[in-house]
Amino acid sequence: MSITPPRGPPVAYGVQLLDASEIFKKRQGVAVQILESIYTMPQLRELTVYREGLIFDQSYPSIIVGHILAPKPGELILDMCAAPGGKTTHIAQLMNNKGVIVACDRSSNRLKTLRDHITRLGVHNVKLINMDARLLADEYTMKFDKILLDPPCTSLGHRPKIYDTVELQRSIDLSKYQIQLFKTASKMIKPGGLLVYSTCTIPYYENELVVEFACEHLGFKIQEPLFKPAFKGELSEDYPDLSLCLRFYPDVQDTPGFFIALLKKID
Amino acid sequence: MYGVSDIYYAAEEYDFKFSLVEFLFDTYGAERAVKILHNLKTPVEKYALRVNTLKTTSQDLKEMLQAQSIDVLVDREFNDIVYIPIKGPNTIRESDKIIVADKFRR
Repeated sequence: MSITPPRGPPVAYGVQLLDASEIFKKRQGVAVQILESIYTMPQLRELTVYREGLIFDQSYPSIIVGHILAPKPGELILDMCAAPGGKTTHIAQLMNNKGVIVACDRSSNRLKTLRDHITRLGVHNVKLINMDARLLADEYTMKFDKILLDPPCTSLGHRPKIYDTVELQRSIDLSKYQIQLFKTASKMIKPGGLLVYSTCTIPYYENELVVEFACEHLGFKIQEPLFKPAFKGELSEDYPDLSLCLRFYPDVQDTPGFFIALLKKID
Repeated sequence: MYGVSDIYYAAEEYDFKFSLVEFLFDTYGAERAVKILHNLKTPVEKYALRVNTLKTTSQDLKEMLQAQSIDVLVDREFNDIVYIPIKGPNTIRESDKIIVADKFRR
C-alpha cells in the first residue's frame, strides 16, 4: 500500500500489518511496515550505538544551542521547557555531569521521555520539575548562572514539513506566551547571568520581537556569540543589537529554520 | 512584484496556510519565500547526530557506524557532531490501496 500525506504524492510504500479497525483501536504499534521510502537513512533507534546511549538525534542548530550557552562544570543551569531533553542532556554532557541542571516541563509524558534519555545517555546531574515554567518564580527562590529558554513555538522551520496547518496568528499568540516565560526567566537568573533563547521557527514574532521585548523591558542585553555559524538576526535596522542574533535559513543552509540569541542579564 | 494570486498558488502548492505564506512573501520576497517553502518540504541532506562525549568520541562512533556499513561525516568545528547522509529522492512503488498519514488530525 502507498502512504501519503493528506494531499500530494505518496512518500512511502509498505505492507499493512493491522486491518483498519485494529489501527483505530490500538494506540501504539506498527500498522504498516515500510518497504520503500522517498528518502532513506538507517533506523537510528534500532542501532546498538543508540541503545547504548552514544548518540542523540538532534538537528545541527539545536546542538549549536548548547555550545552558545557554553555551560561549565559546577554551574547551576535552568532549562525552562526541557522535554524531550536533547538540549538538557547536551548541557549535562558539556558540564561533564558536574554542577546541576534543573529541567522543567509542564508535560509529565514528555518528562518521562526526558527521564528515559537521561538514563540511556548516562546523565547524572539533572533534577526534573513537572510544572508550567511560568510559575517557577512563585515556587522557587534560587537564582541560576545560566538559563536555556527554548519555548513551545510554531516549529515552522522543521524539515521535512510536508504540509502545515499553522496560521500566522498562532505565531503572534505564541509570542505572548514566550514573553511570559521570559518574564519568569528574568526573575530566576543571577545578575550578569547568561540566557540562550532559541526556537525552531521562522516568523520574527517568536524570535527577534521576543528578544527585543526582553531587552527593552526585562533588563537583558544581547551578546555577541563566540562563533557565528549562521546569519544575522532580522529587524536590525530598527534595533541594531538584533543583528547579533543567529538565524538558520532552510533556503540557504542544509539545516532546519532556527533562531538563537545569547543574552546577558544586566539589571 | 507579486500579487495575491501568487501567494494563493504558493499556499496551494506547498500546502501551507495563506496567512503564513503571505508573511513569508512580505518578509523575504516572492522568490526567496518559495525557496523556503520548497526546501521545508525536503529533509536535510546530512542528518546531524550529537555524539555523547560522556561515553564515546566522534572518531570512535564513526568507526562503529562504518563497521555497520553506515556512512558518517565528522563535523570540522565541533567534536560532538557527526552526520549521516540521507539518500533520495528514491523511486518507490505505488499502490491503489492508500493510507493517509495526518499528524494534525485528532
